Amino acid sequence: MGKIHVLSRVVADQIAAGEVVERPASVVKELLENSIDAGATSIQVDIDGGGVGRVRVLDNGEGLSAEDAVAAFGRHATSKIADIDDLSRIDSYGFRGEALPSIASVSKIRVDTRTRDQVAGTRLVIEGGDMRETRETGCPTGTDFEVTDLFYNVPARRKFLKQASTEGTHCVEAVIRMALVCPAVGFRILVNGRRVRELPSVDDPLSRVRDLFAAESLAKAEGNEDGVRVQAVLGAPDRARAGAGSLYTYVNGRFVRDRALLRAVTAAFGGTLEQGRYPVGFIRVEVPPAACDVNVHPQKTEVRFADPRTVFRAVTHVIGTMAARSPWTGAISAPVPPADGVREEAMSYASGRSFFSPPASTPIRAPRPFRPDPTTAAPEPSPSTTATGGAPRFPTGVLQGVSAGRFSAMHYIGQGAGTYLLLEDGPDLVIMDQHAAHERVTYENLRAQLQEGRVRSQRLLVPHPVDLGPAEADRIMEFQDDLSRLGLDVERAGADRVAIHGIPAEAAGASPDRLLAEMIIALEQGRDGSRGEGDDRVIATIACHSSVRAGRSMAPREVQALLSLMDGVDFAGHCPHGRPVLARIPWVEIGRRVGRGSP
Amino acid sequence: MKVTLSRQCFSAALARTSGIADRKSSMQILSNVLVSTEGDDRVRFAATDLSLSAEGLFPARVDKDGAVTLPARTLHDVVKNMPDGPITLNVDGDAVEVTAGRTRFRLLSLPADDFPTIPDAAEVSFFDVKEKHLAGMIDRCAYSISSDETRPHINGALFQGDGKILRMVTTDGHRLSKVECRVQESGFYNFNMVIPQKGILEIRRLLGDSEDTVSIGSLDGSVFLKRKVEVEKATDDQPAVTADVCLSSKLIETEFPPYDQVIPKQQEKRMIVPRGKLLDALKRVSIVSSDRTLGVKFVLSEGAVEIVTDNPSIGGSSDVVDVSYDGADMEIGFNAKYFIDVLSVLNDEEVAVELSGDLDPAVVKDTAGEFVGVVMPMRI
Ligand SMILES: Nc1ncnc2c1ncn2[C@@H]1O[C@H](COP(=O)(O)OP(=O)(O)OP(=O)(O)O)[C@@H](O)[C@H]1O
Ligand SMILES: [Mg+2]
Repeated sequence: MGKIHVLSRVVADQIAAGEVVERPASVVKELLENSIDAGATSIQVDIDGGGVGRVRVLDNGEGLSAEDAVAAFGRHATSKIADIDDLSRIDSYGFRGEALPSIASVSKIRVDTRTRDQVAGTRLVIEGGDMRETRETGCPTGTDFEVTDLFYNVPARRKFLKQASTEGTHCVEAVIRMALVCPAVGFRILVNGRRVRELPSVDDPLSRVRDLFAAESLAKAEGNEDGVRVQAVLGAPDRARAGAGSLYTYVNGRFVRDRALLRAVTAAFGGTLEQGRYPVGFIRVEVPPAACDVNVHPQKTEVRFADPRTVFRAVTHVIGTMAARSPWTGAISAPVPPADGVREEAMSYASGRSFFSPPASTPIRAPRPFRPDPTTAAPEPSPSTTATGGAPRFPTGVLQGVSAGRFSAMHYIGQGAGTYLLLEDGPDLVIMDQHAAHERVTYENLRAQLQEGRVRSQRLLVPHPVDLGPAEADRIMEFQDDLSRLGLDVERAGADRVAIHGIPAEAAGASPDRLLAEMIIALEQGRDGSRGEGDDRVIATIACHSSVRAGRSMAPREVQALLSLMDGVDFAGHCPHGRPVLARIPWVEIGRRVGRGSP
Repeated sequence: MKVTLSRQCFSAALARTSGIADRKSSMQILSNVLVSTEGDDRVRFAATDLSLSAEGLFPARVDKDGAVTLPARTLHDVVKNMPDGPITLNVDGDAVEVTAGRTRFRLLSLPADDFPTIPDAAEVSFFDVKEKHLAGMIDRCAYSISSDETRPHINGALFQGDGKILRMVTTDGHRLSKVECRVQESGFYNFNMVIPQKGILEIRRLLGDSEDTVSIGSLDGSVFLKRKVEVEKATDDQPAVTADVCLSSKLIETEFPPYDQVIPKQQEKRMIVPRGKLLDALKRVSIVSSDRTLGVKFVLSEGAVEIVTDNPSIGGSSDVVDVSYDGADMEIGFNAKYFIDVLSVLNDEEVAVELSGDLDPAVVKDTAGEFVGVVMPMRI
């Protein structure tokens, strides 16, 4: 007798009903789970036409006999559980016997499969749930499962799908979710025939996470508390992303979205995480099968813990201990040094891959330096971004007393420390921070442009491609219109790639991908506030990027130009708080210091 | 070592080399100039900052062989301020003396053995080109070299030759210029190199606008430019005194991007504009702002283009230039500076400006068909 038997009605009914196949990514997920359940150690996934055209999963698992292969497509046909007791101690991904018949009913399927002790393999061809062909075929041990024309017979479902590239991204995302929790399995992903990821089999999750988030500095934590095992590989909190989209959480090996888990992460990091932000990475929680219910959601992405508080405590403790050590700047980080970046560029031109812009390997991230504790570290003296998430700080208050039109009339003495402009204004020595001053002027310019409609955008000769981490392309495209209004034109250029076509003219010299990264962060931070507040954050970011860096020498002509621009700025405007642009020291005070007394 | 040069010759030698010596380098020897004897009637002067090097052979009287390095700037200042007449450089152990008549200076030296070897031009196969041609190419291209050091592949000028045509291309990611020059001089082989910005500017300094030829060649990742320079004018009783000067620059190893794909083959609209008038109009509207990124709108209609600025934080202006244009009305924005730059490097009476959509590149062409400039628009 074969390994597959039909579940009794009772058990079947206890299994959450509902749609298994919502979109192409669900097919990928179900097929992958089957491959892993079948003991595969190497899996190739092909995604064509956003997965609607074709999804193919090729594994080297145990395969199916001819008899089982046919049975597998029957409702509630499963080899994985036999009765209601099994249901409470599931240790395989599959347990419903529902995935294959569901997929088969809305697509065209071809399966080639063979078990190790069979000489010949089996080919099945199924169309809309009807078996069209069963015959012997030559094939390697394992299963080659191909699903084409998804929803071909349910046009209504097709209408609800997003554009192919978006569906494709979700499919890749589904593979990545699985790949993170199965590091020992090698994965290869091809999108429209192009290999987009190759994840070799590795022996620990850290290596797998590092393969996926190459640019992150990562740290690993492990612990076992009250029967809850926690394993985490996380990026540094200062590089946390807005939202939990790049934090992959698992319970008993299943990818889940669970608010309690996220709350535990927030609690573990204490004040180091900005609100609403989560580090990138991977968290895996193992509880005894009986201590959690995975059968609450048709796609199994929710769990119910028997004792949520124990789980919360364990996660907070294990991750919190790691966060306290703040190991991210340490040994296991794998940041790419700039010098290597340059060489990489040279190589990719030699291979003729890229164009005008450096090879698009820069992941989207906040390029702020890592600071473990914002309360003890000195804040970076840039007025453009805030660590606390308040409105952008802008220097204004200290300028009170300087009326418009005064700056260009001041006598310019010279530049100090490559950073400060020294000016004489009547009875005072004025020391002006060149970066802050310029930033302030640019910020006003951008505001004025925005009030007229949109920020002026310089088109690029060649679109600048940006390769993104899993799911990030989608996140960016959500902001496409806002970005365009704010001067950055971005188009989708593939499943996990976007191309920048234009950047704010004021920041024309800035690196496009850094600008994109920071504008996205600013937009996300501002999302909860009013639109005006979000815009303010973004133009503050642009202003910072466009401005004369501290430490650059400025020709007297440039200084004069800056001063006359400052004349035009209404410094009495908004944003009352901020770092001062200038400091005044009365000459009398200087006289006192050198013992001259009053002149 | 003991050598004697005329003041003019000594001064010219240092003028050609001391500029390259790197005063700011942490390697002290790089701020020195190497002086060494060559046979009994010439002295070699050499300076380098490791990426650029200059050397020259200057006529001299050699009384005693030897080599020494001396601080380039100081030596140059000393020589410039010496009285007219022969100057003698005398090295005796560690003591270095520069004397002219009764004036004498003592200088500190560093051993010549510590001076880095500079690229050797002996094996280079050179070809000749008129200096005015090369200078003209650089003058029309140098403005659009990227100065963004994070993008080394466009931090220089692409310089190519294919036997009949010399070509130079530069880009900064927002605009591009390409000059092609047909040359009569024969004998140059196919070559393809990317010369860094600093090298281009230094080469330009060595070029005049005469019919004289200079020699160029490359070897082992460096480009060499060799020429004769006049150090003393001919007089009634003496022919002009000349010296051989050779400049070399390390090349950028990274491949230049495929520029051809960026130059539109076919544009929908074409106008012929009086270059000077358009340039004046753009400069005029730019004075309302000292902004680096002043946006201007070109409003095209039959026979005229209106140049409009409307900068919310500064004010506005407009000007009209008569052009020959009979295409559809359109509006397109640019960074005024980009257009000023490209119009400034040309000297034709009229240039063609070709456009398609308002987000598509603009192409500027000269009358001779040598120059193509691409300027990306600004969405205003
Ligand atoms: N790639 C594969 N290799 C070997 N056996 C497979 C493979 N895919 C499916 N099977 C067999 O087919 C059966 C049916 O698969 P199906 O996905 O429909 O159900 P399931 O995995 O048991 O439960 P669920 O509906 O929860 O996924 C499985 O129980 C398994 O025995
Ligand atoms: Mg299954």
